[in-house]
Amino acid sequence: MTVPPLIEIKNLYVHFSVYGGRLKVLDGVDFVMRSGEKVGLVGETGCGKTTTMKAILRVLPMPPARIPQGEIYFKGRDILKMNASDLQQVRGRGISMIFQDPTAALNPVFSVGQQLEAVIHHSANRGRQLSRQEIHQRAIASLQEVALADPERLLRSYPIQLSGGMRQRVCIGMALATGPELLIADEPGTSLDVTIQDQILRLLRKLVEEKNTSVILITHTLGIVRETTDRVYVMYAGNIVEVAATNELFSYPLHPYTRGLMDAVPRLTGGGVSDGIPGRIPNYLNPPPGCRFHPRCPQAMDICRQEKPSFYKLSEDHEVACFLYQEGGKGT
Amino acid sequence: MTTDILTFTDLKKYFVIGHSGILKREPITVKAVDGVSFAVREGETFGLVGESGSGKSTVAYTTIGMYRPTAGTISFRGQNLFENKMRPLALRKEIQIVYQDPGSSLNPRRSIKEIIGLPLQIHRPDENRLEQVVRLLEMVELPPDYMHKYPQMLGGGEKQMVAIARALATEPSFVILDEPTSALDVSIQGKIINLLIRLQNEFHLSYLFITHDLSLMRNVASRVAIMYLGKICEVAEAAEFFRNPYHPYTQMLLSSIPVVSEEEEKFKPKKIISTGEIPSPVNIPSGCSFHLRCPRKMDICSEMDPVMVKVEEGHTVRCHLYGQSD
Repeated sequence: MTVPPLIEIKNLYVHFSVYGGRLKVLDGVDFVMRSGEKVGLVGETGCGKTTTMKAILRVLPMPPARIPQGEIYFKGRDILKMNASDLQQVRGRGISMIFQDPTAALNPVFSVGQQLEAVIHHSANRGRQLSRQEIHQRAIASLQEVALADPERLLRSYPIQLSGGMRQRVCIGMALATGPELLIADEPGTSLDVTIQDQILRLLRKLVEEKNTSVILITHTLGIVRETTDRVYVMYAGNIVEVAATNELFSYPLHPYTRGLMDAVPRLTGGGVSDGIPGRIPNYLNPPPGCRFHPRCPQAMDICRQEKPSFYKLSEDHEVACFLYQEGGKGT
Repeated sequence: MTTDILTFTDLKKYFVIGHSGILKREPITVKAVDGVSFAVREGETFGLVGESGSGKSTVAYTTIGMYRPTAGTISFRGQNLFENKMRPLALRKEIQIVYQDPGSSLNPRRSIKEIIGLPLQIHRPDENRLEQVVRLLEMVELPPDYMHKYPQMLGGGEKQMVAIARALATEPSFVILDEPTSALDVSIQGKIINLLIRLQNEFHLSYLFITHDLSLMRNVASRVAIMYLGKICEVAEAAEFFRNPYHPYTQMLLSSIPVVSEEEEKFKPKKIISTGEIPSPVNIPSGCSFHLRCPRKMDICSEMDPVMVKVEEGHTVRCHLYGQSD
């Protein structure tokens, strides 16, 4: 019997009902990851990265969100069809998430200890109560894990008393306290300074290595993806446009969007800045027909305006959704 | 020989944030900027890099006159900016600023025409305003009919172009760019940067470019200064700076940058593990403010604040590791 993948998303659509119509945000997302993988998800602001992850955790506000089509499997079980108590188990011990802004993720009116201990309390195995002493010990252990000094005092302090880097460490500690199999990190360093971001990412890499946690890293900073992940999904306007092993993607980006993104990153070695990708992400009320990238694509063809490209598999670990790479296409 | 357009001489800006002591008479001060000296040359892009809380925005806001310095001066073409209580209009028009987040620096209740028109009304009241608005929009590559739109109808990049047009409305010679692209996606960043470079060449502008993105800095600035907790720790030509960083903090910064290619990886200094938090500017450590995080700390560092020393032509560093010579 084959082991089901850790996460498998099949043809996921997410729409939001708003005044004036329906925002067609996710447009058939496919995503697979095995246990133990570190996967990156990159794309511009508003391309649907966070929406996808929120759909996995089923924390999208519905309404206005609607999932008209699609399946999300966590270890072979459809998350979208789970009852509340199974879902509770998945959220606690299966999947944890770290958010971009630790200041907004922590509640300002509860102490770090209250928040962390609540997480540990609720994530305990069904039917097994942890004693207060045990919970406290675990809370201290999880703060020590994220290299925070003086955990006893920290548990009594409030988020406002901590620096940004410390808050993000607390969030990481909290996310890992329950021993999840999958950690979703949504731009974990973006709101922090470069040197602090470097510390946080190094800590995160070390911890997931030790615990063999699988990771989905969401970011728009390509450099971070390159240094942290094994495989990358590139997302544009609610579609996955390219999937490849990290090294492969950075050496041979294929989709015109991925190439545009790579060119737009200023290099430490100099050489000026490229103009980037013209235009901006489409309006989700009336997304362009065919390939959603065609209005900004320098290599758009007639077919791109009419049909949505399917995935073309170019090698074992490289797939791209672009007509340039179809049988006999220009790109092959 | 190039001349200096803007000179900062031992600039200090302290903020009193409260009082301590039994009688609440001892002020608690934040030394946001604590003795900064550098000069920006005519027509160059001078980069100012630092982490949050390092005081780079305070330098910018003092320059445009939002704050008065606690000590020290800023002079523009030899003229002290703080000579008069109110800065004369003629001097104000010369120095303009583009803020970090165009979403909050543009008034959502004003149309683009009104936003760009306001500085025109104040500084160039005799000219045909509509004509000038159209000309300014063309300058930043926006179509003229945008003047009837409101900021929320535009994308992030377009908003920033409007902010640039507004800054250029007074025909300044010096523009402060306070993280002009950090709120934007990388795909749009390039367009804004190249627009700024084109405008600089066209109108012979001098820029003070503030950012925390060193890769971007490498590509736009001619000279770079690194700030840490209100003080400048290293100044050099951009290319030299990245080739040969002296200060341990600079080395730490450079080695922390996530990069996208192998060539860049080779270019980075040997990995310096960054440790410690940035101290609060209320409690700046004694001696060199960096010594708590410094991997090459010596005894003297916690006792004495180093002075700026010249290590090479056009390259100065404030660190005890260099210039121990008499």
